[in-house]
Amino acid sequence: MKGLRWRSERRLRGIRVPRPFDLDAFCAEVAASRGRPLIRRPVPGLAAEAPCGMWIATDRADHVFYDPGTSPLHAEHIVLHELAHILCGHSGSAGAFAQLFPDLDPATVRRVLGRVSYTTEQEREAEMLASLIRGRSAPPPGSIGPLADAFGFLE
Amino acid sequence: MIFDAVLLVVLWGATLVRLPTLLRDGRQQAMWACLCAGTLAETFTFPPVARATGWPILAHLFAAVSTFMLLRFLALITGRDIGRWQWALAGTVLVTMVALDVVAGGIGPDATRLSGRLPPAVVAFWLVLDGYLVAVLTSGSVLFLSVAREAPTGLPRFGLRTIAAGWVLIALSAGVTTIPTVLSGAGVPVDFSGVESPSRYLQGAGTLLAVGGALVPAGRRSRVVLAEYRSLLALRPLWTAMRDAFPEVILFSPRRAVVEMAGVDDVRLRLYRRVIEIRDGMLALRPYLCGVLPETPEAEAAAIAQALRRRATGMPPSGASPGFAPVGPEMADEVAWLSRVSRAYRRRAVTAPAAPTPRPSGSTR
Repeated sequence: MKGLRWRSERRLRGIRVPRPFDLDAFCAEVAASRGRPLIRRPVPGLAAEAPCGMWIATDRADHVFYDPGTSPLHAEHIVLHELAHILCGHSGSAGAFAQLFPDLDPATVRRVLGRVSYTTEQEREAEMLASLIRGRSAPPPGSIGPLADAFGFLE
Repeated sequence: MIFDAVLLVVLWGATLVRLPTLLRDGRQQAMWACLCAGTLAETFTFPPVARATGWPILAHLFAAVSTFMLLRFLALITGRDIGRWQWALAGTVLVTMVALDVVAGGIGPDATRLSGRLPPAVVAFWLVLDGYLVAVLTSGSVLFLSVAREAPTGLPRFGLRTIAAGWVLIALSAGVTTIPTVLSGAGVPVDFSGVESPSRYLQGAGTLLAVGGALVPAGRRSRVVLAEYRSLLALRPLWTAMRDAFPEVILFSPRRAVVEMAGVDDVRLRLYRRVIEIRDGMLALRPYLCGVLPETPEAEAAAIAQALRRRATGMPPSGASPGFAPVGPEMADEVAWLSRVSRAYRRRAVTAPAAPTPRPSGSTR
């Protein structure tokens, strides 16, 4: 388990996180780093009998779906969890998505990962990384920011 | 001796306290490395340790390493990284110190314990070490003093200025010994005993100020951490209910979280996890909600208790979920609202036997 935190912290060092946190800016950052569009879509009722978030990678773009029927912070976290899968380079199966997206051709889908529970190592890693991205306090802006972050004082 | 012992206790305490920060980024690692190397330098200067090891050069080498790590920390907080020439300079300083130590037949633990006319190798050794130290500490002090103007007033600003003052004192201490060392090397008779006490106290006081200054901002932070702890406790009843109903949405148990989330911002991270896990449970519980949208914490607590009961007794989803009360986008909004719901839930769970602890089972998602 110690490895999970260590691995997540190491991954985080290579990721530019906007401070204060801005999901749009972070999505743009991830999209730019992958060189392909990242499309974020709310799917009401996604969590009823299925994952509350899902990442589908096709040949052309990354699609992140989330259930908007929750609080804004939680919805943001669900998206971050899916982005964490992308950043960790996780792989999933395309088995579950056909039930949710019957109109989508399975041949065009490269990866599917949903946020259901934290029982697998990939899910735990994605959850930990998402928590480290969003759960930390934002240092104040300007040149004082890095110092405030290093010494642990807040505005 | 007492002063030296107190200094060591403070330094080792600060080094150990900041150990978990090694998990963070390069800035934190450089800061810890600077502190650790400085602590080792002071340890090897401590007379009983110095006598036991018999290698005074170790203290000087650790002082140079600590200075280099400070330079690296300064470079990282200003958005740069250490240039190749700075690595080369630090390497050259260390190699030169070792070479001069060999040539001089061993350098003493302290420049103030020198006497008589000093050989060129000894003078050169102290010039190299003190020159490097003074240059880095002076630039660090200037940087901290200028950045301190932007710091929040009160403890953070005071802390940064205290650190800068500490570095100025350490630089002064180096200067106080360098000048008589150079004069002695040039053949001018110098009484080193006259600079021994001022130099030692300047260095010790400077180190205490620098370490104390780094801890000062924590005074402000400690109030925030205390409030976060209170929120963690307030959220516990609701979190426990969600954990019992949906154990698969829990990343760490509370005990495990203390270890896994250790380090900078650890309480905040645990609080964040608690909020997310409660919301995960509430999302899974949503199909079992019925009635109208709850608008008060008490109404939401009642709706949660009822939904948990429906699910625990095997009743089918209601089919027309009204959802939960809308909450603001920030974590503070979530914590404030869920804390009130959690308190209401606890009161309800205690007073209403009709809200039993739900049985653990799989997620509906």
